[in-house]
Order: sequence, then C-alpha cells, then structure tokens
Amino acid sequence: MSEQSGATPQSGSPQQTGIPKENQLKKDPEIQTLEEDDEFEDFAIEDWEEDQTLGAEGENQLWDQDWDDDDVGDDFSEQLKKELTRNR
Amino acid sequence: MEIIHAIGLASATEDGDLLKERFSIMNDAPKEILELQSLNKNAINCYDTWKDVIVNYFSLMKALNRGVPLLTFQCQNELLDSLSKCAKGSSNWILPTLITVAFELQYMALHVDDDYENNQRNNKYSYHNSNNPFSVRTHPKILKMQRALATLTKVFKVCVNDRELDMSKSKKIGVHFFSALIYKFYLKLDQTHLSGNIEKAIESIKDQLPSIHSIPKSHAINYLYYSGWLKLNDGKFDSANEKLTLALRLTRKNDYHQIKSILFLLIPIKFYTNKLMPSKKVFQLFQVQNEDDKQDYESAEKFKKVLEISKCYFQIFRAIKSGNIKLFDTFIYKITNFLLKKNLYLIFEKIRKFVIFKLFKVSYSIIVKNPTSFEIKNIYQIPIGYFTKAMEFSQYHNEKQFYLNDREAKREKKLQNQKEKEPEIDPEIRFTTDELNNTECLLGNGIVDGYIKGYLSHSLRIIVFSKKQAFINTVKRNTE
Repeated sequence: MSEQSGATPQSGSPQQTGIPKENQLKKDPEIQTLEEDDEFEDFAIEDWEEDQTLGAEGENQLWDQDWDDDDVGDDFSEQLKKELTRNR
Repeated sequence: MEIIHAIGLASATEDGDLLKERFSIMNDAPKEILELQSLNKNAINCYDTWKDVIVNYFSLMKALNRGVPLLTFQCQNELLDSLSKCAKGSSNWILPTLITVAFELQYMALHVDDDYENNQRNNKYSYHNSNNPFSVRTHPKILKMQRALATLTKVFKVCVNDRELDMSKSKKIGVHFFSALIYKFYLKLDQTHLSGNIEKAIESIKDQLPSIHSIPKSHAINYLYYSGWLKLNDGKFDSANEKLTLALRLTRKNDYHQIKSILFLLIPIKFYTNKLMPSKKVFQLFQVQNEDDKQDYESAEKFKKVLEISKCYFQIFRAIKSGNIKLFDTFIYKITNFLLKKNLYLIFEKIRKFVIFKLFKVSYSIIVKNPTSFEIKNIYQIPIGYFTKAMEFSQYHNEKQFYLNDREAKREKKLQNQKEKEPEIDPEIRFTTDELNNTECLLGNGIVDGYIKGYLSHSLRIIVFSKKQAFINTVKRNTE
C-alpha cells in the first residue's frame, strides 16, 4: 500500500535488525517496488458471451504436467550431478 | 417537481433500469435539485416508503455538487440503506438499482480520498503506522469501510431472505454480487473470520440460488475470486482451486488485469493440489500490456510491478522443478511482502517440501543412472549421506546472482573456505549426526506422505527404495 511506503521506520530499522545501513539501503528499493497493492480490478462490462471466455480449453493450456519429469536438464541439475559424484 | 415524479413513476412502474440510471453518480445531477435550497417534505409524503430514498438522493446530489467526498460517501450510504428498506417489499426489479448504488458506494469507500486522508498522506501517517495518532479502529478510512460494510450486509440479508419462489422475480439473484463486495471488505479490514457467517447463509440456501453460470459473468467472477481467496486463507486449497479455476475460465480472453490477479493466487494452489506447473503461456500472459495502460503512467507502473512479481514466480517454479532450494528461498524472500499481503506465504511454505522432494528424486535419478560413480551395494539401498550432500549443495551452492547482500556473500565465502580446508571423506561420515537425522526425517516425511516408496534403516543410515517404483507420479490433471 502506498501509505506504508511513507511510514517512518519502526521495527525494521537498521539499528534493530542489525543489518548494516548500507545493505538496508540497497535492499529497500527492491522490496518496496513489490509492495504495491494488486487490486482485483472491476470489469468494464457486466456480462459477455460464452465464446468470449477463456473457457476450460484455454485454462488447460496454462498448465504443464512435467513436474514429475526426472530430466530437468538445467544448469543446477548438471552441477548437482558433478557435486554428488565429486567425492568418488 | 419533475424529478420527484420521475422517481415515483419508476418505482410505481417497477422500471429498474430507469431508476438505476437516475441514481448513478456517473450521471449529472438534475439542475432543478441543485437550484433548490431545501426539499419540501410535504411534497413527497405521498411516496410512502420511497420518501427517505428521495430525501437521501437529494442530499447526495447536493453533496456531490459541493465536492465533499466524505459527505458524498455518507449520503450514498444513506441512499443504499433506504433503498434496502424499499427492497424488502419489492421484487427483483429493484436489483439493478441496488447493485449500481452499492457498487458506487464500495468504490467511494475504497478509492475516493477525502481531505483528511490527503492531509495524513502529506504527514506520512497511515493506519498501519504506530505513530498515527488515530488507532486502526478509528481511522476515517476504516470507519468508512465499516459503515459501507454494515449497509452492504443489510442488502445481502434482504436478498438472502427473499421468500419469492419464482426465481425470475427473486432477489436471490443478487446474493453472489453482494457477498463478493462483503468478502472484499472483510479482506480489506482483516476481518476474514466473519466470512463464515456469509458462507453459512449462502450454503443454507444453495438449492434456491441461481447457478453461477446463469448470473452475469462479472458478478460470478468477483464472487469466485473473493470466496476462493478466503478458502485459501482457511487452508481449504481444493475448494480454492475449484473456485479460482472457474473464475479464470469465465474471464474474457483479453481481461488481462483480472486474469493476472487470479493467476497470482491460482498458480501456487494449482501446484499444491494437482502438481501442475504454470506453462510458458502463463508467463507470456504477464508480459501482455493493455494499449490503454501504455498511455497512463500509473497503469504502466503497475504493469511493471506485476511483471516483476511474475518473474519472481517464474524463478520460484524453476526452483520447484529442479529442486533448487536456494533459488526458491531467494525469490520467496524477494516477494515476501506481496505473499504476506495476499495470504500466499503459507502455501509457498507448504510447497517448499516439494522442492526438497524433487531434489531427492533428481538425486536418486543421478545415482541410479551412474551407479559406478557411487559407493553403493545396489541401486535400491542408498546411504542417507548422499541425500544430505544434495541438500547441502541445493541450499548453499555458489550462484553469485542470488546474493541479496554483502553479508550473505561473506557467509557463502566463509562456507566455501571451510569446505576447502576439510579433507575429502565419505559422505557417510562427512556430515554431523544432526544433518543426517534432518535428511532422514525429510525422507521419512516423503514416505509417510506417500511420495516415496520404501523404508529407512536408521542403524545403517540408508534408505531402501521400492524396486517397483521409488517415487510415485503426483501430477493430477483436471479433465472436466
């Protein structure tokens, strides 16, 4: 909420958290940019036809079923493989 | 007076659309009202129950003309209150008017700043700030929301308690619309515990309510969004999934704002309940900007922020897929405020165990595919130490781009130095008892939860996997 950004620091002040001031200053902008409200916007019109909707088909396209796949094939998996076999 | 007769005629002929247009603040105030010093109450005595409505409408138009937001809000609130009394004796022809006045009331309560708020903003006070001389309960914005909520609840009760059996005349058609507004205020006022009463009232008449597919889609989506969010708060993830999925399906393909809001809630729920991952199309959707938003500075800024959060989501789900604990924790930390505000923190906390579970699965796959690289007797009996090593690597591996601050970087460097000093030894004895116990517990949880098939041998410090299927497939697809 925008009002929060203007609040004077209380419990999160550098003195209380123990985080060096310079780090606090570096960190704050990043967190603040994500603090804004994501309000659910009102619709411009009250109703619309069925064929204009996303529908079950459109919704199903938004999801993948590949979480169970073993072969992730990214850098992390490669590094993990190296690390696990390193002590041999 | 012409305007009084017009209102009287609309009520007498049950012309809901005409009355709705008349009472909407989007339309200009009639000149005759603005020119009038005071309303002659004798002239409206004949309108019986509508008398208060006419008086409140006059006050509203005057307040609107004077440009005093707080007074306008109070008049709008009075107008809705008096309309709700008239609604008790009317059929559902009055619903369009109730809906319009209620919608504009909630907008005033939530979005229109009065002078007080502007002053407070300049003074950097907010109702979240303990320096604020006004307590949370007495802050004018909160009081405004509470007043609006009380009136909206009255209108909701009028709709719920309508005894009309003919659905084409019943005010029950308005139940979803008003409950959505009430839920919205509960969430804003942090009074979600009160939503149970509304839920119970709806549940008790569910057979008499119109189908969610037969009411206007905007009403249905608002209801499904807010009630789905409340289910999420209660930890009822299956129900939240059902409601938010339907809300998403009912949106228009180009309602990007609403689609994005629903997706922020639904993405973690979909994973937690069905183990479905957001596809590339989801992240492409977050990159689409409405043409109108490009012209407006505030909308453009909001678009950027939403996009930034979606990028964090992308990294979090990359971590879930690969078992990268550090990546997961880093990006959860980055959007902690957002997650807390949306009550999503808990579900992500619950999802974290699946990052660990995936790490074990990937690690086991590496061991099984390269058995000669490990000191194992057979591929079904794996020392706990290998999984502990995977855990350590996943939490502390060196990826500079993830460092949030110098302190973390220094800690990382210290750990690396310590590791270099340590002699290369077998994984079984390299870790402390606590570390091995911790991994054993996590593997044990996987077995208890049914994700891993096998058993633990604590004395031998090994896990014995099922020869048939060590890790079960968890993905559940909704085919309806």
